[in-house]
Amino acid sequence: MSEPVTASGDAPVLEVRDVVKHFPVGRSMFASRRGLLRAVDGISFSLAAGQTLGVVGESGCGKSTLAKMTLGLETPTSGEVRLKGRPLGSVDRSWRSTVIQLVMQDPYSSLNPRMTVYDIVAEAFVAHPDLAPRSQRRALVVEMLGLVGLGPQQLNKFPRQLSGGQRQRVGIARALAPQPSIMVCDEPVSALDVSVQAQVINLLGSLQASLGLAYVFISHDLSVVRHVSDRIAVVYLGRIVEEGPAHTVYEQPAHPYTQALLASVAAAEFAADGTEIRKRARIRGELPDPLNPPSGCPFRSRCYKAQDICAEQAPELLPLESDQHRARCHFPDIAVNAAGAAEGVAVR
Amino acid sequence: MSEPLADEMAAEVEQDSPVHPATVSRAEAEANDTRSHGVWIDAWRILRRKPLFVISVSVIAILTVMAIAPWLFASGDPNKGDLAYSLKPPSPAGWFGFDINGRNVYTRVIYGARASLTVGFACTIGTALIGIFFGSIAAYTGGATDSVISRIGDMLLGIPFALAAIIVLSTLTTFDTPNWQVEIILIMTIIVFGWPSIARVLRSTVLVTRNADYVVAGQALGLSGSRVLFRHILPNAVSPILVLSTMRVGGYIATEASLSYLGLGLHPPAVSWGQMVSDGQPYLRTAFYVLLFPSIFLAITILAFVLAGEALREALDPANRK
Amino acid sequence: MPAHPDSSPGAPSVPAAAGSDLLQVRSLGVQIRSSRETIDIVRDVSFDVARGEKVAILGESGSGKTMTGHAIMGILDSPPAFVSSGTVVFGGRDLLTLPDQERRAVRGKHISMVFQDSLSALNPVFSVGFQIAELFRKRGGLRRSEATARAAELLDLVEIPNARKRLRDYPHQFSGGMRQRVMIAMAIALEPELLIADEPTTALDVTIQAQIMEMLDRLCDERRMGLILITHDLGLVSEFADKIVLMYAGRVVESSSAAALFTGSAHPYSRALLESVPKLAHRETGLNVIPGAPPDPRDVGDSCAFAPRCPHAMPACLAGVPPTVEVARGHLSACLIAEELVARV
Repeated sequence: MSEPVTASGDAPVLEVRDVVKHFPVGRSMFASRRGLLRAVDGISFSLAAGQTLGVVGESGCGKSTLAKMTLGLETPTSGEVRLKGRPLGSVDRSWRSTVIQLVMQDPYSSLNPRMTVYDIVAEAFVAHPDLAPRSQRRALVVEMLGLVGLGPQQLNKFPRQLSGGQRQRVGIARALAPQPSIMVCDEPVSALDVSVQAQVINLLGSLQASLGLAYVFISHDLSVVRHVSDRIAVVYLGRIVEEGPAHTVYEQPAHPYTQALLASVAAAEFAADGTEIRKRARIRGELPDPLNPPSGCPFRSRCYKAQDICAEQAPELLPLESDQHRARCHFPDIAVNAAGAAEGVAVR
Repeated sequence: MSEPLADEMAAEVEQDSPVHPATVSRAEAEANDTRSHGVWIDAWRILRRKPLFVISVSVIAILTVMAIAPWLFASGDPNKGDLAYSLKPPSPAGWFGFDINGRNVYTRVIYGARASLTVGFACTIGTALIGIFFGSIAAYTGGATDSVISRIGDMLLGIPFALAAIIVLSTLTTFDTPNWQVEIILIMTIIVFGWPSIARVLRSTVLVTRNADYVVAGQALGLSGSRVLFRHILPNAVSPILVLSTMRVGGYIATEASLSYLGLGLHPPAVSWGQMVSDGQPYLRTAFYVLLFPSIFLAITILAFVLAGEALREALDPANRK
Repeated sequence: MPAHPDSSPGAPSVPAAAGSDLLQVRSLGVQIRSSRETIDIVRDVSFDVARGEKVAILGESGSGKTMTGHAIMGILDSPPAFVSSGTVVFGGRDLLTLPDQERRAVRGKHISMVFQDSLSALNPVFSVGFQIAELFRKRGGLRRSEATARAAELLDLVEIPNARKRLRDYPHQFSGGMRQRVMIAMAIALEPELLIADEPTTALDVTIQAQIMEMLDRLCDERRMGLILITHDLGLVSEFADKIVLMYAGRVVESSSAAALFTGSAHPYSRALLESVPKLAHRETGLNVIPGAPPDPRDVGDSCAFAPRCPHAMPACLAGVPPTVEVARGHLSACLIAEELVARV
């Protein structure tokens, strides 16, 4: 496998190499049948400063576990995570948390209900006193709030006095306080109202432009991911099944799962005269039992083009028309547009 | 930290519309109030208005003062009796009557508060502190430590603390043992057998809170494990303990009274309601007041704690918060 | 069309002609009453559902869409919520004035509901087969063996593989998507004329969502069943709804066919909403943002609730609630400049 190269050729700020996380399932003692949950089964990617990697997947694909591993909150069973070139195992909690930070999905549970907005954001300085001497803390917190569009009048409020959008901004301010280079955004807008989502997406975009942040943007919402990402990785059962530049993956999806995801997104579009342009197609079947995935390619149980070899041999992540675009499939579609793929996927 | 702030400062992204320049919504007005609006403040507001809570806390307060400074409520020596007054019924000379030794029942009841409340408070605080300590260790560390603590707790739970107290006290103390030693032994016994139920509850709330998003955020922020535990996990896990403890005070007080009734607890010259009940029992038919008044005070004390605990539980119930 | 063989006596007479109205909601209002205050969370909501028509009630949080659905179904949590005004006419009778017993007779048999959280809607201690069969035994008057057979047929109908075997399984043994199918099966068991689906797929993965919605679509078509789909998902309504009722702050702001809403909406809120949603097809540089947030229901008075966030707001918007205008056949909008908006395109 070639060394991960970022689009700009710069040294990556985040490198994930063959990361694997297995959870033993079943009773610890006297276990007659122990299962192994392969939450993440060999994922690699790298991220350059100022770039956004969109991670797309449905429930059970391992994206939350992956997020925790990049943050150092879970230790990989095998594989390595490097922040600015340094392996996570060798750095301390303090340094790590000034490099990579987290924005979470649920604005209602990601803030401690008993702390004021000031306390929540200032806690970053409790963890890193060298970033801000006590005398300057308040000013810095106000500055952070200003970055996310909140005013100093919010300082003494408690989370329950804020709207969902405001709480999410506080969460972002908290993540920005240690001045990280990388932000892991785990479904940051999924719990917000539609009209507020746009505000937060725009905010994240402008912060990236002004602060040069790199984002790992995890979401199941394909439209949102498309909007914010430079590169996209599609994850299924703990492995990347397709990755590439955003527009390539969206317009020329090569892996049947990517095609199915795109085709499943409800987004009918209407021509000016009122006739419907896109029709949704669906994929059959459900996610297989993660403790007992199908042999060979784990997607084959739901794939419209599965052949014998798919059961015998697990495909590798291989480049397609360019080195930047890769898919894990024995029969990837090369340069087929999304509409054509949708028809191919419409199987009952 | 809470300085008054000028709120016409930095504009939020949520701009004012051209049509509604100065209208402040109710939510805004409520939020601009710079006083702290914590969970506890909210609970206090609710509690303030509940008559049951106000009454029960007032009763507890009065009893506490009674325990600390009984001379404020009654003059005279509870242990001095005038045989001429033996078993006299209630009268202006003695509002609750006199016992077989001619001692003023009213004075003795007042002085008896000390024993009950000391045991009550000491046991509550002791079981709570130890229970929280072991419960949070068990939940936070998990693994073998958790198993060991939980199993030990289970074993202790199997023995009712009243029974344990009876056994311990009858073994370790005699009639000559000074009262203060008896009291300490009693309190320690109750604490040793009482902490597991507290620890259990705390363990489960910590396990739940540990997975809360804001805890994960705190860890991501780089906070140390102890800071996460004390600042994020415990404050949110402790409220059920508060309620549980308040409601158990009644049991501790009843235990002390029962032991004194059996002759195992405090003995003269210390005054205890349980002892008074025991002394008054033979005279139930003839001079019921000797037994009645200490019983009433016992009941009121226990009831006050239970009601206060119940009111506290309701006030802290998140369903009650708007 | 003949009357249903399972009709119980006293059932409302349901209109048989195709395309005729099944349900007429007029000026429905719901309030939340506490000792301190009364809040209007649904105000003056009116719409119709015809036989076989799929109507989506679309709105963000606080729009009152869920309360509307609950009020129609008759499952409002009273107290503190109460229907304060309006009529809900179904089969010629106003459901809101029916005595409890008759209301219950309608529920499940003629109007049925599917919820977002299937785990809490299904009883965890009974097998799925038992719960479905019970419906047939209690309300359909079938014997146990017949009821079980019908239950199996239903599970088949909602595309659960190994239906017969799965009858014995408990709710927690099903995946989220499967459970939702079970809930739909239970909802359509007694062949209701109207199904209310409250965010039925919000908690599901997008690929499962697609399957479930297609199945629901098919079932509605096959059974000529009316559907009220309560959701916040614009994409979903664009594909499945015949008519969209858009709610904001407790009121209906626009009501039209799906195509009309997406190609030429007549309300600033609809337009702003459509423009702020990222499109799958292409990436834009910045999303158009609606400033502010939906209002607290307590702050909504006698004026246009959207005015504070509206780019076209005028002083007249605050003078009173904008009257509903019909800008085209079947296209209603509650905005003072509705007609200009449509003309502009």
